[in-house]
Amino acid sequence: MKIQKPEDLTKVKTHGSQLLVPATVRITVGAATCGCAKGALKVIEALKHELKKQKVKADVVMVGCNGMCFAEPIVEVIKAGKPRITYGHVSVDRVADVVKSVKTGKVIEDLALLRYDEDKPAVCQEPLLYARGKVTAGYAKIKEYKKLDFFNKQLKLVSRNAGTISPERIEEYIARGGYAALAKALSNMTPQDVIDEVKASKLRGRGGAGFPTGIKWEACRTASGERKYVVCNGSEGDPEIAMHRSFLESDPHVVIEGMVLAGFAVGAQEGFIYLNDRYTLAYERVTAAIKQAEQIGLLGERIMGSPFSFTVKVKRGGGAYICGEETALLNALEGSFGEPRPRPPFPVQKGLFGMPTVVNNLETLANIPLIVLHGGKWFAKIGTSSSTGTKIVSLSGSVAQRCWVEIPMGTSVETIVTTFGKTNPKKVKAFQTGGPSGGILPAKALKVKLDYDALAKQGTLLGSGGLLVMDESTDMVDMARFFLDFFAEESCGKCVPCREGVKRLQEIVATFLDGRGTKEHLEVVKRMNEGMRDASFCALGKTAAAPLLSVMQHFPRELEKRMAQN
Amino acid sequence: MSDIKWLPDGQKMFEKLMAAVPEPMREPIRPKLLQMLAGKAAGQPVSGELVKKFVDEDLPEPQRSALMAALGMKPAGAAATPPPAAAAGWEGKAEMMFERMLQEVPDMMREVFRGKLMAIANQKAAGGPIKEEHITAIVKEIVPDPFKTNILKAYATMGDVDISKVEDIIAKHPGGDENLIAILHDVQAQYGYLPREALILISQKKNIFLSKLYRLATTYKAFTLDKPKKNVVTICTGSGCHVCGGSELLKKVEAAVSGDGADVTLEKVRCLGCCDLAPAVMINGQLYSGEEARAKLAEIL
Repeated sequence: MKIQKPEDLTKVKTHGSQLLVPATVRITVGAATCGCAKGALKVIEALKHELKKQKVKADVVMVGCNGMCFAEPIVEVIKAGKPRITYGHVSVDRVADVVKSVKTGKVIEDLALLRYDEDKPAVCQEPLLYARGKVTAGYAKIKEYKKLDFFNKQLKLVSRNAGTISPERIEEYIARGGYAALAKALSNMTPQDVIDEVKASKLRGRGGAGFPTGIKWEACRTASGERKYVVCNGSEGDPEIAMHRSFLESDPHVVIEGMVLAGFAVGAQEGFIYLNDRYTLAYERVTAAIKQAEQIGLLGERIMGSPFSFTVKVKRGGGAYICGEETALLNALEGSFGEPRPRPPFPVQKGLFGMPTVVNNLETLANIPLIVLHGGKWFAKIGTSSSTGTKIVSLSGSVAQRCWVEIPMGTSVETIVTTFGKTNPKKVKAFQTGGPSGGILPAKALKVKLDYDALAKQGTLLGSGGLLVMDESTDMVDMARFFLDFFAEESCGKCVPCREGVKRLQEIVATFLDGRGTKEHLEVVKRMNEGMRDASFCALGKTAAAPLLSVMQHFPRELEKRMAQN
Repeated sequence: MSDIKWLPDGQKMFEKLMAAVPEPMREPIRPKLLQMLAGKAAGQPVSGELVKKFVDEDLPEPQRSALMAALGMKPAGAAATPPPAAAAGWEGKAEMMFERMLQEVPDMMREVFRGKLMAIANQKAAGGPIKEEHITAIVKEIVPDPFKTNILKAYATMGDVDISKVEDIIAKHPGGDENLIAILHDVQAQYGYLPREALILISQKKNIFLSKLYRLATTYKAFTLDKPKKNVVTICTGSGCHVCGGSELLKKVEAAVSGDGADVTLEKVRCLGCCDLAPAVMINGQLYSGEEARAKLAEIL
């Protein structure tokens, strides 16, 4: 069916709800990249086969990732009237047990991770009610998700649907309140209203720099141009981060809805999603999602009967870290080389194809529907006063549980490492936020809160939300070399301070690794940092010395150990 | 120069031609043109018509068009003859080889050479279809080095790829430069790398310098110009995997495959999207971790 007016959404919603809370059985398998890597597709195949064999009828659905990458493959069973049960580490040889449990109604205790009697996200809509009546003894043994630290220390706003809905069924997204924000904006709001809400929310860009989104939009709205564009930055080039990939594979529609709203607000009719070249699964899912939205009339001409039209295209990048920088990204979108452009003019004045363009990180855009639906004031209450809302954080490195989570801004790094990483903070030697451009901080800084300003005070940055943990076995000088190697590979070579500076820094670190370093070397690093910071063309060169500088600041002994003995 | 016999209108026409050549170039180029003209005349007296014919057929663009206009000949657009065709068709990969040969000719001269070489090819085919050996013979007999070596080298690997699908891929992405990366992605998905023949075809169809395509193909890490070997091993050296031993693993595998005979292409990437598996290893499209990865690596190395 086509949605011709906002009220039409209700019908789709009903259908979606019936899929999410079925009258029979729904079995979901986590099949984002993390799940597929652990054999989710084979599990699905085995499930279908086994269901036939045991003569059980069920709707087998491919969903995304709920953040518990460590427990993949995750299989969830939702039987009418019973709690939804999440099983982890379901290998192919346990599939028969799962199907049997559906038949008998008995929970597999050694696989069960948690249960949902109802799924009630912190905000919004009607909860999904699974269990009817009293929960029976077998189920009661399994912990409810609300009682698990992994969930109750999170605040799932943006990622509320990930792992629950099928990324390939738009009706399930709509059932969870999807596109309601768009309906609201198109029927009751002016573009300026939308911008005002976003400004009131104090939402800041989630890609790294933390620029206020509302101000960016207003600048684009007032800029003059024949056409305007919205660009979603899904470059995610940091070498440790895959949460946006996972997120996009789990719930592509929330990003699309955010883009349409951005287009409405700034007066654009066309949007582009720029994706990291390796994100083939995300590319497929987003492409499919766009098609569905077009078919149903939520993208294209005269959306929901309003005069507003908007289309979205997905473009895969060529594989370059620098393309996360917005002007280099625009060059890549135009089919050119990933090199940054001089600013000003800023993209909001002269961006894609020379037209005013808003470039937003995909997580920023995913926040928009909530802000429009619940108001900027509501959003501004979440998190800290200067960093509102939540942040998706990817936890990797030396932790027991590697995962991605969504936490309110202001959560301490220690909480993330202990609660979600299940790692004793005493075992942490150092951690790094913000990807390669961020500083490496020592364990004593673990109490630092994740928000833009608190991290900046510590000499690092929030970046796009990577959190890398290092334990005692990690050699800090080697880490500095690792990041400099990374920059040397990724520097586009356009400007001299970055191209040559990074090489010289690499050489200096190499002298330390050979045990020939001197104090003078370190002085040179400081001077070079000043030059690179002031004269580099873009943030890559400006921040390339950061990891080395932070090692100098926080781990001076490790460098001293490697100085030439006089 | 003395071996040119002029007919009156021939000499007149030639001087008119020289007058149209820009001043500073005029005298230096005179002997060269006379020499070419003498070759064309082949001992016969030179008429005005022959001079005109010489300009039309033997001079490279854009000089050709400019001089034709100066001599009051038909404008270049209308005068441009359709590219000469093979008299009785092609056999095997002969056409592809012919085009590959022409690629060595600078853009400006290509169409002139096309006509000449086509004539020779038709002559060799003696009424039949042009065969592969005819083209190879032309390269060996006529083309000077280093072009000869380049072309023969290209012929050796030609046909490993059937580039017929590239046309479909190009057709799937109409529009300008903004779709180039998408085209390159699709071509790479088709062949596992970017074959030179495919890049040439894209450059012709999209009217883009081959050098630009090469720059795109080499600056962006997603693309490779080398045909992947039987096994492709991708090791993640993102910071998460580095901390968990990814770089050490890479070094080990690098050492193991560096010798001859290992039928392995080794790549490193900055994130495979499953940090949980750190250090993550992808072997022929399948992700592995820890023990499993080591066992699989041992198997193929």
